[in-house]
Amino acid sequence: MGQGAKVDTVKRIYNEFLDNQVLATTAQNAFFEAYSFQVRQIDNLLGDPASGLSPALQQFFTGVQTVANDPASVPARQLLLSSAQALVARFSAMHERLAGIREGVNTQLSAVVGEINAYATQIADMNEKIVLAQNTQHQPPNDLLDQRDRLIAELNERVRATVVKQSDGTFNVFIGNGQALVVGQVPYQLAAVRSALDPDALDIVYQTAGGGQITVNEQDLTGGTLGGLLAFRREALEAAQTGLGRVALALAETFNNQHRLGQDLLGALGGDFFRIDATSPTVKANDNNTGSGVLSASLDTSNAGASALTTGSYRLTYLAGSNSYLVENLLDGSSSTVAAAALSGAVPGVTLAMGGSPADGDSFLVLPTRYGARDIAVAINDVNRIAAAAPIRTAAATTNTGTATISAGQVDATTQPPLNPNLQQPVTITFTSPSTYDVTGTGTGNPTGQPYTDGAPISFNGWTVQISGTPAAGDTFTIGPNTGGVADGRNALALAALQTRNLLAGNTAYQGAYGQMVSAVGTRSQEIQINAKAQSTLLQQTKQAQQEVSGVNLDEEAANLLRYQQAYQAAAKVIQTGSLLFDTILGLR
Amino acid sequence: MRISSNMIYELGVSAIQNRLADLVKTQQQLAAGRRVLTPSDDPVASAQSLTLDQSLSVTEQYRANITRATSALSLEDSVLAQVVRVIQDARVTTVNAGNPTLSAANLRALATELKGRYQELLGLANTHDGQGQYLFSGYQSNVQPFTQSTGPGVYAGDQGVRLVQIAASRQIAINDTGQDVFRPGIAGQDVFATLDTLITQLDSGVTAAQISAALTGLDSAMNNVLRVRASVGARLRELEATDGTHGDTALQYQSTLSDLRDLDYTKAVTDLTRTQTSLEAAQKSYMAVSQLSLFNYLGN
Repeated sequence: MGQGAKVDTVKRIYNEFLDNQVLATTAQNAFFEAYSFQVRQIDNLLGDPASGLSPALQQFFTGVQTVANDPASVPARQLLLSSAQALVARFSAMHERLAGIREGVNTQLSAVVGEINAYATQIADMNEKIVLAQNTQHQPPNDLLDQRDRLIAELNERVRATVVKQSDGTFNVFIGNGQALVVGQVPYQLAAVRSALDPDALDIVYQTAGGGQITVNEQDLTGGTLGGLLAFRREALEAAQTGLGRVALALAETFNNQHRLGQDLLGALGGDFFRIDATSPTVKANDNNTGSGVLSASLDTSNAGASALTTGSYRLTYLAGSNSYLVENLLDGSSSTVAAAALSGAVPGVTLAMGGSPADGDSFLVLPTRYGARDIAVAINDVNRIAAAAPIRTAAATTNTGTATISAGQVDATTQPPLNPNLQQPVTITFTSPSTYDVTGTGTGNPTGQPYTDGAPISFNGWTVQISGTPAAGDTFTIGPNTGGVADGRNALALAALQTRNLLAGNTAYQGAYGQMVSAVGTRSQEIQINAKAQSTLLQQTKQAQQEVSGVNLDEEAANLLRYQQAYQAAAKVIQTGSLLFDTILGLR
Repeated sequence: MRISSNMIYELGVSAIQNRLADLVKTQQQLAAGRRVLTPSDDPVASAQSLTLDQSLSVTEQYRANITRATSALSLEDSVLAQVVRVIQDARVTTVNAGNPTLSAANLRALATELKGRYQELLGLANTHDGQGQYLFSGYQSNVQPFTQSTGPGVYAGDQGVRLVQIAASRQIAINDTGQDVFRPGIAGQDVFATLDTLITQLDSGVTAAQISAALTGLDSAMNNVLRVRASVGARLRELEATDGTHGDTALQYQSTLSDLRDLDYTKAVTDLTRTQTSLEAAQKSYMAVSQLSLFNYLGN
């Protein structure tokens, strides 16, 4: 019986070096694609001039100016309240959008982890089949090997995974910092679980054989969609949320501070204009803490506190050995050690206090600004309560014979609030000669014989006035409450001036701080998009190189087909000719 | 170099997609009229334009404030013009009263006329604007500044000066107080006291010295009002000049903003055409290349 052609083996043509390069590039490419897709959402949110913060902020200050121009006008005051509501709503809407993106990241993290687990199982399964096939068929199971390679490529799109070839033909797969995902025929599983520290985040945990969970340091999970999502959350998203929150909180704090120096339409002293919810700043103790330490935090609402606020989010870890805290800024990676006694000022713009006793290694998360944009509201709903006036006014006695005049007076903003309790006490400055004066009034200590300098500031009880010109002996000037001063817009003017005062960290005003955030996100987004493009080109080139070796060119195959066909025909012809020759020879009789 | 058939498809598709992405981007820029669509297009320009945006908006606000200040000061100016006219009329009447041939009845008639001037002046001193806010009562715009019906001026307002921000470091007063304009309670300067005294004197036979004193008082009041009016005029001129400066500044901001983020249409349209051509080329060449196969010639 004829046996036909016998095929010894089908040889897989591949270059391991190129294959590995393709895997690495694939992981990087998926990383940038995931990152770029996410960051573009923030980019678009900030890019639309109509939906950004800037127009709402400008309209708010237009409202303040309108009140300053016409303090007694109720419609002007109503406009300010409405524009303040609109500003708060804009902050909140932008926060919600960013929080939504964060939720979306969490959903995707769960999905990607599920996929990774599925691939791990399939690769382990494939390892088993390959060993079996090799042992029974004594032929390389090429289809299975191809399938396993494809699975590994797909896994690398999810997370960067390295492969170690074993002598029995199985592949061991590792991710992150050497965590085994597949060992021989055994798959290990990951899970995305609610972080013990960060209430908004999912952590990636590695499930050990014993049923325990080990949190994988997210910085180790490089590459792939997973790495891209984690890096986006850690870098761009956090920066956008805290950047926005910082503007909101600093605006509320500084605006309140000035507003409290004023007097409202009903003659009462100004209260808070904005309200900051108690959820800013947020403190979260690690669920795994073993000590009894409870960290509490409050915002330092002074102007100094507002200007100290950063966009950082902080992790504090208690070090029992030195009775100190390791303070890590999670946004920029900087860290420092702060003695337990100095804990209160460990996070800029926030006052911290520790109750109970933490155990060594206990950690706490302090988020000063992440929720800032959500947590501000307008505290005032009665237009009369807008403190447009200053609580004091000055007068020169009509009987004065000198030419000296007194300035309108201002309430000191550096030392107040809280207001000096004697701020509105009537005070009289009486000149005893053109160069000396006495002061009388509660809270002043009634100093006598004060030397007079033309135009020099005179400060008592939390106010400052200037007297300029030449006074005569017996001239008096009075400082007193601004009763009925409804047309006074001095405090509104001071409030309006906040728009361009550089009160925030980095010596910038509100809009400037927002601009910094926009520019930071824009730069990050631009960088990621450029990298994504470059990486995709690189991937194409690497694939091309790989395909040069392993790929199939149909023309080449067709040519080979022709070649072998012709060789076959030629061989057949030889046989035919041989047969003819034999026939001829055998036919010779 | 070996080219795998698979690669021909992948490269072709990716080239087409890249061209298409460029095309869509240019199209979006054209549709929006902006070069910078998102901050990542030009992070520096985005941040700069935010700052400029605010500067522009603040400048526009100053211009709005100037309009407000101008209207308040114009109202005050017209009231002061009437005050000047009333004092002038009173002065003419007072000069007439100095005529020694006038009878007691004549003098009483002049007194009656001056009473009318007094009330007219009182009305002007208690002028309020369209929203019922008194012009001359300082901060207490809800308080009627002059409360007397006869006699010297009794001022119920204060010495508060209402300010409006018209430039980054300039606030301008949009009122003058009743104290400053009418000098109530100041001997020899209180225009109400001067008129009231003269009215009483006219009723009981006036002396030349009394007339002369009244004229001095009226002149002093007149000079004071003219001084205030000159100051109002100076402020109005300053407002006009500042507004002009702001107009120029706003124009500069707008032009810089436009340079930063607006689209150069000529360039964009050229880009669009070019990208379109290269997209078509990529599509056509892909179709041409992908159809090439040796298998086409095999078989039959």
